[in-house]
This record gives sequence, C-alpha cells and structure tokens, in this order.
Amino acid sequence: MSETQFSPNQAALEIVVSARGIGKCYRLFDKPSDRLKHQFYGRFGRVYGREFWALRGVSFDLKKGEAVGIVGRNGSGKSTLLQIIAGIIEPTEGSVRVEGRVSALLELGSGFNPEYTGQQNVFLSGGILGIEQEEMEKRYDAIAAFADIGEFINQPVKLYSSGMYARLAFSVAISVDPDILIVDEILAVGDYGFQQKCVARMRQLRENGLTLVYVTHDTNAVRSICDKGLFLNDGSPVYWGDTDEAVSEYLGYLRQLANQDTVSARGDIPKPRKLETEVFGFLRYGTGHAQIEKVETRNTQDEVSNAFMIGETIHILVFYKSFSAVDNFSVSFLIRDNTGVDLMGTTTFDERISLPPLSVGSQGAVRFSFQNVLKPGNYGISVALNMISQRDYSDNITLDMVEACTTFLTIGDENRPIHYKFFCPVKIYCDTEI
Amino acid sequence: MSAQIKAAPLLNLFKGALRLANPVKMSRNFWQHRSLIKQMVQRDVGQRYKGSILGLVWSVITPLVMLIIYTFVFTVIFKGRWTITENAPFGEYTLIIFAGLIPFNLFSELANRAPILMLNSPNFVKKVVFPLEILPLIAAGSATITSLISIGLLLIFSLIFLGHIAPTAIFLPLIYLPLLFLSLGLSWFLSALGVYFRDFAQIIPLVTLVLFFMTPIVYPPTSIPPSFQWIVTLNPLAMIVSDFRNLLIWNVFFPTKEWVIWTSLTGIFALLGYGWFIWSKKGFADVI
Repeated sequence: MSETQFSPNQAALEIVVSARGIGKCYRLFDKPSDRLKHQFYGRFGRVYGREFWALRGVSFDLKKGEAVGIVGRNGSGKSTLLQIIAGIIEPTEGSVRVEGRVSALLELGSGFNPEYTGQQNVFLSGGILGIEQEEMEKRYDAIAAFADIGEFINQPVKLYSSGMYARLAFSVAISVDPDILIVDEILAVGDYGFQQKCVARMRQLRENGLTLVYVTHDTNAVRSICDKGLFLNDGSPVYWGDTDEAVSEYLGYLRQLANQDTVSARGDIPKPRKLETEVFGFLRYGTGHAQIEKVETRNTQDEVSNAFMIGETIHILVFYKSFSAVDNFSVSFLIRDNTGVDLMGTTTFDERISLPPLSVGSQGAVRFSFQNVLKPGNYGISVALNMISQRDYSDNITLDMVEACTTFLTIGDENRPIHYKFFCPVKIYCDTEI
Repeated sequence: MSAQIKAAPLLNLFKGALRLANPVKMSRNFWQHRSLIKQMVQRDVGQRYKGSILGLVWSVITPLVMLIIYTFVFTVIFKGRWTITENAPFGEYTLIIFAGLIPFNLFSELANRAPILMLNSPNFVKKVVFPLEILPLIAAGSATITSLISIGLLLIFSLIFLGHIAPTAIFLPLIYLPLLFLSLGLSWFLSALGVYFRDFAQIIPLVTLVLFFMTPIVYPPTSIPPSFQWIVTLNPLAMIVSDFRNLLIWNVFFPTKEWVIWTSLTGIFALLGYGWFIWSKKGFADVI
C-alpha cells in the first residue's frame, strides 16, 4: 500500500477492519461425513463434493468511525462476509483483521438461547462478550428500557415475536460498548417506530467513534447512515467506495434484471443485440434493438453547450439508430442531481406522442426543450429508449438505457441566490393591492 | 512405501491438534470465561427441572427409584451378595451398587450428551463468537452437581443403615479428577465428531450400555473369571468405581500407584480431546 509513506503508524492504527482478498468456498457435500473425509484426504489430493464460492476477492479497509453499507441481492454473499468479519466462519482464502470488540446482529436470533428468559439472555450475551455480571446489572435497566417489550423480558425468548426478538437483540448489541457493530437486516422485522429509533441510535453511536457494518435492502437507510458502500453480486465485489454510487449501481442492476425478466416473459422479442454505439455513461443496459447514438445539450442558438443560466431554455437532443423493427417506440430523459435524487424528466409515451415505428437501420432524433429551473450545480442526464404500449408500464422493455451519459451545469446569478432545488417564478401581491 | 507417503500428512494433521492441546492456553481460556461458565452451569442445572412442579426434588427421587430397582433385582431376584462380608448389614449391598453408579452415571451422562451438544446449540455455533469448548465443561459441571447430590444421599443412607460415614470420603475429590478427565476428554472428542457424523448420537448410548455391564458395578470385580480380568485392568471406570466404593463405604484408601497412572493417562486424554476440539471447531459453522 502506497499510503504507508505518510505517517504509517497513525494510518495503521486508524484502520479497524481490514479485509484482504477474502473468499469463502463452500463444498457442497452429499453427506456430512464427506466433509471430514475431505479434510483428511483433501491433503492427498482426493476431492469430495462440489465447490461453491459464496464470496471471493473482497478487499477493503474501514477506518475507526466509518460506516459501510453492503447491498446486493439475496445470495450475493453479504451475510457470508458479515460472518467472516464477525469471526464466526473462517475465510477459505485471504485474511481479515478486526480490532476491537465486535457486536454482531446476524439474522434473527443472534446468540440467544430460546429456553432462557429475555433477562437471562441479556446476561448470557454479556458473558459471551466477557462483561462481568455486576457490570451487566448496571446496564440492564437501560437495555430493558430500549427494548421496550414490557413483561416479556421475563419470559423465555422462544415465546417472542420476531419483532420482540429483534428489539432485545439490538438493545443488547448496542449496550455492550462495541467498537464495531455488525447489523444484518435484523431491523426489517421491527415496526417503523423501532427502526427509526435504531437508526437514530446508530447515528449517535457513530458520533462516539463506532464503526458500523450494515447490511440492508433499505437503500435509503444505507444512504442516510453510511459513508461507504459495497455492492456485492454473486459473491464478487462490483463496487466499493462512495455510498450513493454503490446504491445506484445496485438499483441500476436490479432494473436491468427486471428488464431481462420482461423480455424473456414476452417471448416474441427478437434476440438482444450488443450495445455497440459509442455512448458512455455510468451504467448502460438494454436489449439493443434500438440504440442511442449521441446525446447533446444545446442552447437557444442551437450550439452544443454544457452550461445554462436559470431561465434559459435547455434542449436535450437524443439521436438513435434502430437495429431491428421496433413498434411502440418511446424516448425519455431524466435529470438527477449530484446526490442521486431524481429531479425531473419525461417520456414521449407519457406525453402521448406517438413516434413512427422504426425499421431496420433507420435513424432519428428527439428534442426535449424546457426552461432551466434548477439551482446552480451539476446535473446528470440519463436517457432511455423503450418499447411500451400499456399505460401501467406492464409491457415496458428497455431497448437502451444510459445513466448519466452527459452532464450540464447551472450557473447562478449572484443578485438572485437560490437555496432550494428548483426556482419556480412566484408572483407576489402585497396586501395594499388585494 | 505407499504407507509412508500417506502417513506423513496424517501426522501433520495430528500435529495440528497436538499443538492446540496446550494445558497453559487451555487453563487461561477457561479462566477468562469463568463468569460465563458459572452462569451457564447454574442455568443448565436449573433448566433440567424447569417447569416441573417438584423441581430439584427430582434429582433425589430419580437415584432413589433406581436404587430400589437395583436392590430388588439384584438382592431379591438374583440373590446376589457382595462376598466380602458374610453377615452384611441390611442395605449394604444397595449402598455398594449406589456408590458404583454415581461415577458411572456422571460418565455416561456426559458421553451420551456429547454427540448432540453442538447440534443442540446452533445459535452459539452460527450466530455469535462463542467459546464452544466450554460447552462440555458446562455439561460436566452440571453432571458433577447432580452426582454430588447423590453422594449426599448416599452418605445419609450410610449413616442410617451402617451407622457411620466413612472418613475417607473426604478424599473423593481426588477420584473425581480421573473421572472428569476421562469424561471431559471423551466429551470433547465426541462433541466435535458428532457434528460431522450424526451416527454417534445412536452409537454412544449403546456403547455406554455395554460399558455398564463391563464395569463391576452390580457385581464384585472378584466374580469375573481370571481370563477376563484384563477387561477390568484396561477399564479406567473399573478403577474409579472401585475407588468410590473404597472411600465412601469401606473406609479404605485407594491404591496410589494405579491412581497416579490413570490420572496421568486420562489427563493426557482430556488434553488431546481439547486439542482435537479446538482444531476441528473451525468447520462447525459450515456443517451445522
């Protein structure tokens, strides 16, 4: 690592979780005894079972106080990664170094004994983490209060609802002074009020230096709590870094999959084509039957421009080419700000403009024109070509979709500052005139 | 030649387990978790009778009923007699059987529980970083408490039937040493193996049943024909059972040389079991 040139000791001290090329291979055995045989005879080169890599090639560093949100579909290796960080399973390859006390909330029923009462489980969890009984007694009231499950605290946890279970588990996990908190989707079973309470508490703990590893399908929670994002797919890291980008990559991937599902469900769609035109964006997918050739922003003089004043008209030109016959053709655009919020856009389909059917090799362009009402800043334009005829979008197929294929800038007027996302002209009447 | 090639990696494998059989590290590990162990032994004992109306009374009733059955079967039906004393006082035979049953029950309880010990605690294996090696220790602690209750009962009966309590009973903790070493070692081996081979849960109760009759508990060791004496010599439980009787009833101190040998051997066995457990526990979460 080249950063070690610069105050190496401090840099090394700050990193509390360090994963280096970790991978977990499960051998799928037909019999449990094959596993032990493999452990014995594997050394002689004899192989039992089939290999399945649940996770592979994951490397990252987490500094003290950082929070990473891990997103990905079911079976993408998120939980496996958490189990490795928590030290519950051994990675097959690579290494992970974790410094400090780890408190892990993995799925439902972390470390609780179903026969014990809630109270007994609180003390048991303390004991597992090496906290003396007297110390746990001091904390007990706060734990019970946060869990807020009333008399059930004195009942065996096997009688708990999944929500109560999550409440108690979370309450214990945050009350044992963890340096690193690992949370796996457990909050999803809690009611909305409890989820908010947990998110607030996690933020508060982060201010005190807690390092958080968080897995959830709630991408908004990831955006609001985490400052790093990791997108896993089929056990491999797709993106590591900025939270917003990790989340958009993940959501983009989901949309892409949904599109593929629609295409294969329809059956009457010709084979997808490679997206070969030279348009580049943050993410691109689609069936490729028609493809975007070029996207431009132009000013009122019809010159290509990437900077606009407020109130100036922006023209977005989308040039496309068809590679097979396409009916019910629609073109759309979407503008996002630099935090990933969808601001505005439209589609020719929604505006009920019917574009002529495309024949093989035909080319065309659509011009979207609108007055710039966006506050000063950078904006990204995403453009899509669709095939759609149903008003409920049930038959929507994305032919080509390029996210953030071009950007533009809004220039502010220092005489009229704008503090909100949009500038909408407002008429003002003073009461003398009413 | 081919045997040599195969033996080398196998040796490495056992070296791994041997390296982990470190008595200093083991003691430190248990010392660190003493609070957790204490807490869980309490729960384990409490759990056993939880929800039953009579509660802890069962731990007295169960051995009592077993005692009555053994007495009836072996003195009334089989007309068995411990040949040492001709005019034995009433109940002596019962006490002799009882004294032998106490250590054997402790051993068989631990052995029978071991193969399912990990399987019954999936949360500790899969959800938290739990020192799984203390689970056999907790089972042993709980079984020891049960056996101590039985010993208290035996001493009371001894006072009633024989009119005295043997002073040598005070040395009993010394015999607990090889007994616990043997049971714990086995428990570590079996609980780790039980994860991979579910068959052990079926095999072990059969094995303990065979052991019960191969150990001189309901018959005196002298009634074994000389050609089968080796069974007793090679069975550590035979020595333990006989020492329990010597100390609790006959006021006789146990043979020291035998004790030293068996305590060392079972101690090494327990250490190896611990090492084996630690070596193989990495894979538990992948299987359970």
